[in-house]
Amino acid sequence: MIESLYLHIPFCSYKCPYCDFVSVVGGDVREYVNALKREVEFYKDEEVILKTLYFGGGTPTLLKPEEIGALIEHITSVFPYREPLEITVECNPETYSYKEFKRLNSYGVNRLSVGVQSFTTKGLRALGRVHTPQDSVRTILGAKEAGIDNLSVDIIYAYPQQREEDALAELEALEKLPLTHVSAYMLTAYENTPMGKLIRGGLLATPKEEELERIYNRLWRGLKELGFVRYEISNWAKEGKVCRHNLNYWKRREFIGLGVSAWGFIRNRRYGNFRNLGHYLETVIRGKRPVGRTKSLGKREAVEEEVFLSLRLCEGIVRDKINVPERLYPFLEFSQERVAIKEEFMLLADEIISEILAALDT
Amino acid sequence: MSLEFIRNFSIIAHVDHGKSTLADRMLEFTGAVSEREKKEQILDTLDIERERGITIKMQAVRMFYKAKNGNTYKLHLIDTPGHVDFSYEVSRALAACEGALLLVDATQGIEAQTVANFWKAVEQDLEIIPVINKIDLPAAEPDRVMQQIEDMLGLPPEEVILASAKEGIGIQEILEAIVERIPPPKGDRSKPLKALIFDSYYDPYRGAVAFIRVFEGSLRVGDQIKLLSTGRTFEVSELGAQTPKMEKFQELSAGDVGYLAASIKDVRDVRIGDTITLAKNPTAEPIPGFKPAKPMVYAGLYPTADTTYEDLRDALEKYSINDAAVVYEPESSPALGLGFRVGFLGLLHMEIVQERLEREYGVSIITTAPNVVYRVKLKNKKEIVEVRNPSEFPDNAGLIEYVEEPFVSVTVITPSQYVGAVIQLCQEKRGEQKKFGYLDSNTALLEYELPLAEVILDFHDKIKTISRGFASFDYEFKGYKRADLVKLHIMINKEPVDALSFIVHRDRAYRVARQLVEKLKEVIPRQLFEINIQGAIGSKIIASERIPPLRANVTAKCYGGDITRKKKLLEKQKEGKKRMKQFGKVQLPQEAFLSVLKVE
Repeated sequence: MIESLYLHIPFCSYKCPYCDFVSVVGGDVREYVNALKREVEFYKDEEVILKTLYFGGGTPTLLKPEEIGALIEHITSVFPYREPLEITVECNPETYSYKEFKRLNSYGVNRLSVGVQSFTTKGLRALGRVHTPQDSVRTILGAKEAGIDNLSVDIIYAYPQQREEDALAELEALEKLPLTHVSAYMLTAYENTPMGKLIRGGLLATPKEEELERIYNRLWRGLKELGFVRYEISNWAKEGKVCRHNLNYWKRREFIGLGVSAWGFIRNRRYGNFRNLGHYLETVIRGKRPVGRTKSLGKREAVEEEVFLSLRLCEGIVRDKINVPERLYPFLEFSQERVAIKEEFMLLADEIISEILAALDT
Repeated sequence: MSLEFIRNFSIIAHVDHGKSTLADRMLEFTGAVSEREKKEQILDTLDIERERGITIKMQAVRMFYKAKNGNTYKLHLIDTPGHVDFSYEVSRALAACEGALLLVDATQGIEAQTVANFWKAVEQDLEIIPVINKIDLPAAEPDRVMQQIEDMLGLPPEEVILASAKEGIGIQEILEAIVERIPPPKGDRSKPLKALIFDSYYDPYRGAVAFIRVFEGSLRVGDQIKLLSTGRTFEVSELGAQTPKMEKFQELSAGDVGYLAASIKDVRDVRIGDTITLAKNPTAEPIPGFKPAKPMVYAGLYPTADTTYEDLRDALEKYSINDAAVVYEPESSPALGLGFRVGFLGLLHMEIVQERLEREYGVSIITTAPNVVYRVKLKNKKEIVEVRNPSEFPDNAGLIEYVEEPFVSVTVITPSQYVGAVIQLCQEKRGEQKKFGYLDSNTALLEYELPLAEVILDFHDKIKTISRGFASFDYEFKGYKRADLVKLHIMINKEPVDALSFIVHRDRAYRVARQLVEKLKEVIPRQLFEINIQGAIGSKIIASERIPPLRANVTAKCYGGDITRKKKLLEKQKEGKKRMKQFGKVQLPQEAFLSVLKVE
């Protein structure tokens, strides 16, 4: 049964230097929204009862609230759904304000993920963002006032020049705001991004390991003190406010992906839509599924996915599904039935997981 | 044909001085290969290769030459292996001849290998015909080279033939000199058979094929032969000579050179230098100079990545059918698991074997640093123990009465501006100077006695570096000498890693230990745990380094679209880990086991 649907909105007003999602500056929003509506139809015969809907980007809030509303209406008319339906929209601080949020809320959007990235001017500059910390605060308060209670922010750490004190500034801001969820990511230097190229080429320095560890420890301990409970490597939530949509990814539940470059997972097959916007639009208009890549998972691959995705979660994995090399014991937490990576070692997750995957082979 | 009309000879030359071109010209000149046939010949050989998956070596080619004196002569040109590890094989090929062409490149002059092989030929009492090749080249200096030949080798200038194999200059003169100057073979066809094996190869149809020189008596297809070193007997199934194709004959007799097949399954039964005689009427005396092949260098070969121990065993088995010089036995290492200790003639031989195993037999291997064979006399034991693996070397120096290590005589020829650097290098390598002289005003010849262990380490690379590639060297086993050697062992997190232990001269132990732990720190990737690397002699730590634990390895976001990509990334990390060897908590990469080689 498919319970989740993701829509990718590729438009951005500018391209962030670290971002590796598919996005375009400019572009015909109406044509794209129409294509999305048509794409929905391709899945109408699937077994679906929607519980989560997620507008990701790009910058979904470059669409008018009415356009988002129309999409929600169309989707909920095609697929049955069950309340409480979690509808998340990703939002950039410089786009919507109270008025737009009010309308968005009236169309059923009940969760907002604000791309704050940093509450410091220093952090925003280092990341090449054009909005200010005040923009972020205004956005969050505006959304709250408009009735969207479930509010999440994205924070990026380990940006160039960041120090432990800067992490403290993020925590101070988080404390003052009415937030229910935080995603805090370590900056990843993807080689296909301008910033990634500079970092990998040694032209731009990110914090050295010792500093990085201090920033990281400061952040997760601080979030804990603020009452946020971690449930995934990069995600924290107040009681009852975990992102159900994202959790479905990590639990390997099926989902439909719509829009350029979006991925879906149906009947043990991962599929990826075309990454080229023109190509995507053309194919959908011709009435064909815009799928460029598919990957059917064998038994082995499915198990490996389950291992690595479960271990990203704080609840971990059922013990007898893996074979833990003894030397990894100090990094893991064992309960009656489950095993998980200890919170203080989450920063080493890939190292630990790849060792567990290697042990799976022997 | 009467013995008077047979000539057996070799060509002695440094690599690239034109040996094979000269051989080709001689074959063409004598009509053994016509220009047209040459092409067909190559094709023929390729077909055979393709069909049988083997390479037929041109080991001993027979040609007929009508000399100016009107007589026709049967000439046998015997090839010699081209690289330094095969000095024994060269000496056996020379023992099959009465004469040798000493070929020197007019632009390069005499090089180390030429001198070493010249002395081997002199020991065999061969008639030597000096030839200066490549005289057509603008950079040729025939006068200088002639002077070198006279000064260094004592061969008078009037005996030197000037030639260019490439241009066909001097070929007839060389053939005439072979007929005129090289004495015909001696030997009595009526005496009991006495034939020398000077080379061999394995052919899936014929079995092990021996290249032989008959000294006394004669041999026919169907004869029962006996190999003197083992006493084993075989029935001759085929006799012949390369002309240059494999031409069959019914008989080979005294003075002849050719090949023999006798359904011999194992190439190890055909030992180079061994004497063949008839089982019924054997010769009383073997041909002197036989030495069973004795590996000088040993290394551990272990399977890695997806190769299993069984895969490696099969590959070694198949490979050694064609290379009798390789010996191997199973060994097990706490650090590396099950593998083999493999013996080689020298470092180059080792590299060849390693490469062919990986390329032709598709196995992935980790090779430990090579070592020589030490002889250890313990105080409480009577016999001397041969140590082929440093991990077998006693840890407790107090138990050792003395240790001996193999020494070699090294000949270096170098342009004079690098003499200082060569001397310094040889001294660093614990060398003892035996000879020092000049071939001419620009070229020096040095002879050193050096421990073989030092030569196999990096001598070749070093000598090429310090002389910008101009110096050449050759070495020959001399014998064993006592030396003050200690076992340096490397401990990773307090546990000794057997595959990294290393025998070193006491005076150099500290320096080597320091470099080794530093090198290991460089090549071992950071891991979840702190890694302590220590170098120790017995229980005394003499060097240590620390690799701090890894602090971060995480990709922060992983949503629906990231899963496939993320999986690939983890897959890559996982494969990297699988290629490493688990040692306690620590994973050691292949480079760690070779870091011993990088020590200065």
